[in-house]
Amino acid sequence: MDLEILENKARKLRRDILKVVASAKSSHVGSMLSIIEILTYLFYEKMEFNRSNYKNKDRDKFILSKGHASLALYSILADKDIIDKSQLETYCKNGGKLIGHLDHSVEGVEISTGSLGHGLPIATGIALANKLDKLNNKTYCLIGDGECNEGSIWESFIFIANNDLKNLVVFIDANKLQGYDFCDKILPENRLINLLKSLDLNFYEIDGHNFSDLQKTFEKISSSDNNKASIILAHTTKGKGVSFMENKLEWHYKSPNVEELKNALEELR
Amino acid sequence: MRNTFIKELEKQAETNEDIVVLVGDLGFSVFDNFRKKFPDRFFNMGIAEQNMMSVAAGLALNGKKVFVYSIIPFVTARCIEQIKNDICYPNLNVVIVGVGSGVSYGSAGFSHHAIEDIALMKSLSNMTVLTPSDPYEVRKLVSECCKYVTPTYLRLGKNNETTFNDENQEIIIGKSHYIKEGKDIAIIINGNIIEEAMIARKLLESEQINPAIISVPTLKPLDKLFFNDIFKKYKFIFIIEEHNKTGGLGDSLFALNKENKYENSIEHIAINDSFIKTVGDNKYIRKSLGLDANSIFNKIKKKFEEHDEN
Ligand SMILES: Cc1ncc(C[n+]2csc(CCOP(=O)(O)OP(=O)(O)O)c2C)c(N)n1
Ligand SMILES: [Mg+2]
Repeated sequence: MDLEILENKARKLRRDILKVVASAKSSHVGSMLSIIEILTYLFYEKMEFNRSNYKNKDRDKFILSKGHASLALYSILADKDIIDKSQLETYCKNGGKLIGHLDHSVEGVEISTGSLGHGLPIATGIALANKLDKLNNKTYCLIGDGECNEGSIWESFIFIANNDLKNLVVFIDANKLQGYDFCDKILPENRLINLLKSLDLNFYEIDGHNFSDLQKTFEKISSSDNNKASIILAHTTKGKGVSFMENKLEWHYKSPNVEELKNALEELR
Repeated sequence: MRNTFIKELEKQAETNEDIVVLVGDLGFSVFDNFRKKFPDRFFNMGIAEQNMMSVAAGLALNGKKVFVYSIIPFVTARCIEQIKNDICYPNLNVVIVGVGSGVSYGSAGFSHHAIEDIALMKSLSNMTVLTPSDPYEVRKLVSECCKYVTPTYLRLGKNNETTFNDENQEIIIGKSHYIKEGKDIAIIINGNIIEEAMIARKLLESEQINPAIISVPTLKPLDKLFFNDIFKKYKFIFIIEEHNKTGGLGDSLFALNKENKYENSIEHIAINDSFIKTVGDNKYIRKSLGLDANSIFNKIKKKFEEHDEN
């Protein structure tokens, strides 16, 4: 793992996202910025995912359950030339190619999301199919901490806990905020953690902006000798990387104006 | 519509202490004031719509007047069985308020579009379905809702819609009415697509065509008396709705028309049973669907000219 390469990549992705969000005047920039290190680690270090193999039957699959952060994934697909770079600028625009929530009409996207609480059960089904077919590929799924309010998430966890899905890794983007409150006001984080621990799966808590943490966790996962799925609760910051966007509910909705974009890009040089 | 809704709800809550509001982790900049004013009667239920809907049922069972609020798919399709079993079957006092009718959420994509919600809600027994077309109707309907104790679905657009109703127009649940009187042609609309119909009407006027515009604030129960009259009075009927062709206003009107064996020429301008993949804002998507003012104008003009030739 080359830390510098990954860190530069993360910075580039953040800049790409900010420019597109500003020009599209679209929402959810905070939700995108909190998952950049996780996605960068998966797509540039962990999974082999590139133009030549992204359709292979034996590929690892990534399911972004919090589909409102679509642009984070679209930016990676553009960076990897799986979609045309010029498509990024059409995000959310009239006649554009990229829909606001994650859409499987976009090359490289496995399944559409946008209504919360759907991605994890789908990822569970994929992992189960791989297990049935005795394939070795992994399934990664990323859900929001607010998304953990949904009953379907827990229905899924109950199934996962009971079915030895070692090939499934679930990330929880614990950025402490959801749509109209801090998560703590709805489901306090320590309670969420206790609930997750009670599933008796492989449970890890990490700094979701730290590549070394991510790497160490995956070392632990691959050396674990049980057949259980893994849950990684990643402590993150909503709006990470742009000081005035960090930990602010309003950046779930707002898009940066010209001045704010300039300042944001300045911080990410 | 959203701001009008919340303003009127605040007003009602001041005098009606039974009103309780549940939101599905939404309402930033909309509910801020309500929340501050009535902290004991406002609950952010989190992103958990099925629970939210059945909690509403429980509250209503104990005498509360519950308003449940989220983006349309999340308070309709997501929790349809909770609505059916827990609210409609026991006939409880819950108003389900969905925001983002049709393609109001434009570029957000299919998960946020609301083009099958009327079909879902209309198919539930005991459910009243309200589809106001402008902020005036929203205001009146919120106050109307507070007089009834039955399951109700209130379908809102987004924000900053124009008002087309006269300030003294009576709005009663169960009634439809004229926005504009006309000759030979009646355009029947529900929801904020009225904007397009009104522009189309202007264009038609300059061609000496004067269609009536009719609003349907209550889609279920349908105002049969009123529409029987419309079918007798106007030969040409255009039904325009930002919803799938199946299960919406069109179906209700077609059924009534057939039941009474009228011989109108009816055209239904709606969405053709397909998911919308077009990326763009509300206006742009409407255009791609033939639901914009110009497309409506052209369709009606063509029909009228064909008729003139015969
Ligand atoms: C079923 C459903 N309910 C509500 C919404 C509206 N919504 C979109 S994002 C969001 C908050 C999500 O919070 P979280 O999962 O913590 O993700 P974050 O934005 O913090 O990354 C909500 C309520 C939705 N998309 N789906
Ligand atoms: Mg969150």
